[in-house]
Amino acid sequence: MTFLHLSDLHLGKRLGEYELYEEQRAVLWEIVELCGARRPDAVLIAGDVYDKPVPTIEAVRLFDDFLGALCDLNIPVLIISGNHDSGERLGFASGLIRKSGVYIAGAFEGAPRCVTLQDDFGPVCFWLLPFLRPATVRAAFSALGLDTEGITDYTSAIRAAIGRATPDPAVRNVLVAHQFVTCRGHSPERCDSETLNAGGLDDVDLSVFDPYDYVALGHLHGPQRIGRDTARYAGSPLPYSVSEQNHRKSVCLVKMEQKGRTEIELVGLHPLRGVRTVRGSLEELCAPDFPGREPRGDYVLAQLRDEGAMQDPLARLRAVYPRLLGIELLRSGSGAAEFNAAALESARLDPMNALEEFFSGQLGRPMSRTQREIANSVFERLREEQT
Amino acid sequence: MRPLKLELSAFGPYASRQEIDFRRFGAHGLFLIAGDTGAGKTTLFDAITYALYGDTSGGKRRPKTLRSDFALPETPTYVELTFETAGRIHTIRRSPEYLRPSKRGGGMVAKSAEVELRLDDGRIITREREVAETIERLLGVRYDQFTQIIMIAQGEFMRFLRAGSDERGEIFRRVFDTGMFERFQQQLQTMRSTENAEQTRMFEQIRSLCSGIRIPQQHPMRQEFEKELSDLPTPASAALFLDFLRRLNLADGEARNILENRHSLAAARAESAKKALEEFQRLSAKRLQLLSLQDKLGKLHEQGERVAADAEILKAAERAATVLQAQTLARRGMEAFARAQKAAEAAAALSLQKTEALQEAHRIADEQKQQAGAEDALREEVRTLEASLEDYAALENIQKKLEACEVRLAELTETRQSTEAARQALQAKSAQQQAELEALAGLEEKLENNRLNRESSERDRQEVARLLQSAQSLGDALAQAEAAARPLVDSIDVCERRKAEYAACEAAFLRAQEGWIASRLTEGQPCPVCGSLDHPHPSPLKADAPDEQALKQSKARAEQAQAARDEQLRQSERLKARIEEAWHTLSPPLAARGLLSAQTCALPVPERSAITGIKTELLDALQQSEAALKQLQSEQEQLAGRVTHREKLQSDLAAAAEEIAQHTQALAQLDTRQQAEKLDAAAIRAQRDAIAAKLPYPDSQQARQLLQKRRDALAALQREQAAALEQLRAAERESAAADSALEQNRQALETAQAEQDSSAQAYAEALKAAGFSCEQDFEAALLPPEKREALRSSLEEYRAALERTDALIQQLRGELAGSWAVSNENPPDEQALAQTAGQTAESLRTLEEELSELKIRLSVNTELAAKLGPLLERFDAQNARAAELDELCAVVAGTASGLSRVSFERYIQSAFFRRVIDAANERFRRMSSGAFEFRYAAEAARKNEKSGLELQVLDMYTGKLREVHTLSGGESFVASLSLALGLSDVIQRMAGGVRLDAMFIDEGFGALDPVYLDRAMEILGELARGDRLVGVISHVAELRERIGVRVIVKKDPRGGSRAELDLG
Repeated sequence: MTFLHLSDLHLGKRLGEYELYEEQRAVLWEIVELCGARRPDAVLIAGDVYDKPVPTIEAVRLFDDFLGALCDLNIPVLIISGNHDSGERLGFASGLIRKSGVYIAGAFEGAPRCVTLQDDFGPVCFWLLPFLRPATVRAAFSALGLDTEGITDYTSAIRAAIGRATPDPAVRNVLVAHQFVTCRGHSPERCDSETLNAGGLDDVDLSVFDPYDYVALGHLHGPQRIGRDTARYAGSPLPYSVSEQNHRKSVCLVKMEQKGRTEIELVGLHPLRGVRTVRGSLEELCAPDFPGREPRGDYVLAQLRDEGAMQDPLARLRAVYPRLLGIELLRSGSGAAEFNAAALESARLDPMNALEEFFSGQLGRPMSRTQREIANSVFERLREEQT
Repeated sequence: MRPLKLELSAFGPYASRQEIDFRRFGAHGLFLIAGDTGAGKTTLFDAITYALYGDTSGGKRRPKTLRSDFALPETPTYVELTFETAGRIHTIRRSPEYLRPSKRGGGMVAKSAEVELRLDDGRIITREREVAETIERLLGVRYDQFTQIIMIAQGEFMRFLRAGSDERGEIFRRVFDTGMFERFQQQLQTMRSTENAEQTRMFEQIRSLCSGIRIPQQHPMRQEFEKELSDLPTPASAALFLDFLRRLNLADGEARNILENRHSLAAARAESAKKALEEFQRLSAKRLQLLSLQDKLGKLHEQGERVAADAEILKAAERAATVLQAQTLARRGMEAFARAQKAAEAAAALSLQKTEALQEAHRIADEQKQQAGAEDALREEVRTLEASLEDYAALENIQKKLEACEVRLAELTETRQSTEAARQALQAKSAQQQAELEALAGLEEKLENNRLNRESSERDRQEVARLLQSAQSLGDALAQAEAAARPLVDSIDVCERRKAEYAACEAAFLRAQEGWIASRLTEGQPCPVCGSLDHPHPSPLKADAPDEQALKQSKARAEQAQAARDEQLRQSERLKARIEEAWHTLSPPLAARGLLSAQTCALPVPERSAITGIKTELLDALQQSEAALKQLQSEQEQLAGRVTHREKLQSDLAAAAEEIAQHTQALAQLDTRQQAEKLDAAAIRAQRDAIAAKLPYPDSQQARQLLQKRRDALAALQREQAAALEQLRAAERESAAADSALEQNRQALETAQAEQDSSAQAYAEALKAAGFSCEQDFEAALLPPEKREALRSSLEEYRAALERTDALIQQLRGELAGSWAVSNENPPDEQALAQTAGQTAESLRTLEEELSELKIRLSVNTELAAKLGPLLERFDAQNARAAELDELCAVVAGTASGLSRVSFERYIQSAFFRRVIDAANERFRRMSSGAFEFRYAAEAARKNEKSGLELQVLDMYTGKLREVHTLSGGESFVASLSLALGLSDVIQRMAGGVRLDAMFIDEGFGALDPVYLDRAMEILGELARGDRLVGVISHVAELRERIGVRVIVKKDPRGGSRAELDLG
């Protein structure tokens, strides 16, 4: 049995102020063509299908077309909701849609859903677990009258959730989940476009997923393994931030033979436009022979080396790079210089010095001796008054 | 400052007590307050500000209106905040002034505002001013700084961004403690004004000193003085004055020396005369003294006998004194003996009394021993009663459970009834609406019809209007034509006339020509015309014949008139043509409308009156048309209205149906619960009956009373026993004591007796030894010690006086030996001596006066010079110093002309400001994707303000600087947020600065587009991770999704609001 593992489509997401529908449509089509060529037995989408709980119309259309295309190829699609999706909305009419081979686990109902597919070696159980917070698990368990004690953090919550439907160790089990999974305290590689729960600790330890032969994860946007080869983040199909400019975007094609034999192939994707940074002075970046100018259609972050004032920097850069994300100023040790609290305090501790500087700065000559004496005497008096 | 727990009661929209425990947020540093509009989100922040400072954020809600209108009268209004600063935890509780029900009688009584601050060291502060000072000290910021840096309220965030240098300066003075520089400036200025006053005073002093110069009229230098220096000096001329003074002193010094010489000579002479006079007087005095002493000696001798008698009395008195002591001892002995006898008698009586008491006590103790039996019986009873109490307790519990069950049952019944009622009402209403709906059929057709009608009506109206207009213009044209008729006729006449005139003129002219030619004819010469040589009748020369000029004029006039006539004709033709055309166009449609008869129509040109008539008719038609149109309009509106109504009915019906279904479901649920409750009640009741059967009393009250009585009796019994024992012991002790006292007294009596005997004997012996035969002699001779002393001393005095006088006489005789005083021969002439002495003294005195006057003058002037010298020096030095001080003051205050108007304090503050800007820029750049950053501006935007803390924004779109007030609302919010965070960063990094562990932001996010919102969220998330508590109020949905920890504020349907934690 072969299946395709992808995640974090984030349909409808904007990069800066730019909409990415074109790029998203292109890469979804690339995936559809890949399916047409390699004919996998299933496609797993591990969460964050949309970028917002209420997605835009164009995003919905996009996903509609994508699913339609996969259905035309008779490939079952297994989908879970991520932290960006609204589980309830994504799971609309899931009961009806499953007849067409699209299985959606939107809202959590107390236990992971199981979808069983057959191949030459027997059944393969796909366990679909939507994105969970401890509060979600607690709420679902309370509604079912189950005990919620012991659900204190993410690890214990996930363990309780999957404990409700233990996989049969005799068959092959695949889990599809969307969480922040770490392995023995080591964190995976992260990038700027992921929104982890603001201000929270949401680690789930990998050991919770030991019973599963393959763990298809979503949530992080860099394709990577965690802990073992058979536990993977598929990563986002497109670069969604400047920090992803060097990622090699891909989808995982997983081939499972009998239990214990799993082969993994990363099939590269070719985004329509890249994301990159260019660095130099304003003049350099706008010069027609600047080597980093092409490809011009890319999303570009400009890092400017200029020290002094610049003429219409944004306007000019926009003219050269139509999809400019923004500018950063690289200044050598100027305004962002090391904060010297001592220097500021010194004014108060040695006011005479500060006064000399101020005086000579204003009049262009130093104070006379008489003036210095007067100032000293007043400072003395003030010091005495304070003590 | 980090809030830990907020508790509020009857505050703002919260009717009852609400509690928010910030500690439950755990490691989450960022939380959101969301909820319905007006539910009370901002009130939570207001509460924090109010608790700390007694005033609310934004200053918009006055403290007196803080009590919740929804609260019950008994609920107290207060806010209590537990917070942490610098590792210490404190609690502050504050309540505003409000009315509460009186505890006695009815009505409301005003409860005044209160505050209570409980510090971590246990101290409690309740005075408002002291609390305010302490809070300021703990937090490090005053109310207005708090609302700028920590609590950023709705709409307030822009204040710091847009503040001018002065306002920022005040904030910085407080926050960065630059007050000392301001004080420095003030002190300098005080110093300057003091020193200026000092200068003035010093000069006054100089002048008054100078006025004290002494120079008498007859002095040789007086003239010079009057010429040069009679006016009091100015600062410039003071030096001259001093010089003159010095010279004066020099001259006077010399004069003084001369005078002193003369004075010493005169003094010597006066001295010797005086001495002679004195000698004479001394000797005379001594002589008189000698004579008086001799007199005194004689008197003393006369007193000798009396003195001897006194000596005898004294001797007898001394002997009596020795006996006195023995007499006193004898008397004392007798008294002691009497006392001892009395004491012995008393002791005997007491002993007897105590023995009797002892016997009594023994008797009572024996009685008590017999009561032991009764005690045991009581103890047994008490134990039984205690056991039964437990059963009673169980009974009470069961009773309570039963009651609770019944209450719940009642509630359920009530709810069921109300739900049922609601459902029925809804059903009735639905039926009604359905009927209405059916009545409203067929609306669409009617609408269509109406529309067609309106269109045709409109078309008609437009046509009529057009016709009217044409008729109007036709009428005008006709009028014009008529008007033009008369002038035409006139012009034709004129033309004819002119032509006739011209013809006449021409004829006249030609005829005149004849005359002219005829006049030239000479007989025999041929006529130019016919050639005849004979001229029988030459034409006469006409006198008034017109000349060529006149002819030309006439021709011209005629031509003019003709031209005019032609023109008129042309115009008339044109007009006529127009009229015909218009009529041609107009008449058919008018005929079609029946407004014209066939004949009129056939006319090429119409009558004016006919046209007028037509116009009137057309107006009528137009009005009719318009009326019809209006009516159709209103019909259309009516129909549209009905359509809307129909739609509303449809939606209402749908909603009602849903509700009815809901109610039905609820009813079913209620029924099941009711059943269950009833079963429970029956079971409990059975239990209760079982227990009650076993107990003797219906409740525990009586059992308890009996128990208490038995216990009391037992205790009383025990007490009596103890008392009797005590009494016995006491009686034993007292008896023993009385016996021993008796023995002691007997012994004392014996001793006293012996004493008395011995002292009497001693007395008798003493009397004999002193030589007195009896007691009476002894008593007579006795004299008190003072009298004895007095006698002794007077005797001594007499002897001494005698000796002294004798010695003095001898001495004087010795002194005066050999002088005229003893021998009494040739005394010198006293008067002559006196006279000489007087004269010499007189002349001396005169000299002395002169000398002293001179000396005084000299010393005054010298002193003056001495004082003036240094004073002048100081004055000059002071002047120089004043100029420099002025300059220093001006520079420090920033008022020196030509320089930038930055004061010293402002200069120091600008260094801080730059750091703040740097810190703010880090975030501002990120949030705006590098589009904006702050720049420090040294000059003020408004020229006459003190500057130094100005701010501008560098806009990367244009590369130019912008004023901060040109930023948009969302940009301003992001800029202010960056500034506030930058400011708090700098404050925290200063040594000993305030720790700002929390920050609250109220709205402002709604103005941000998705890109800015994303960045702002990143920044806030960073803050929260950096161990700060960041609270945000916003209605933006995006924030709700991304912030997991929320406080949801809901409006309670029963009135008031509730706040609940939602930890995601």
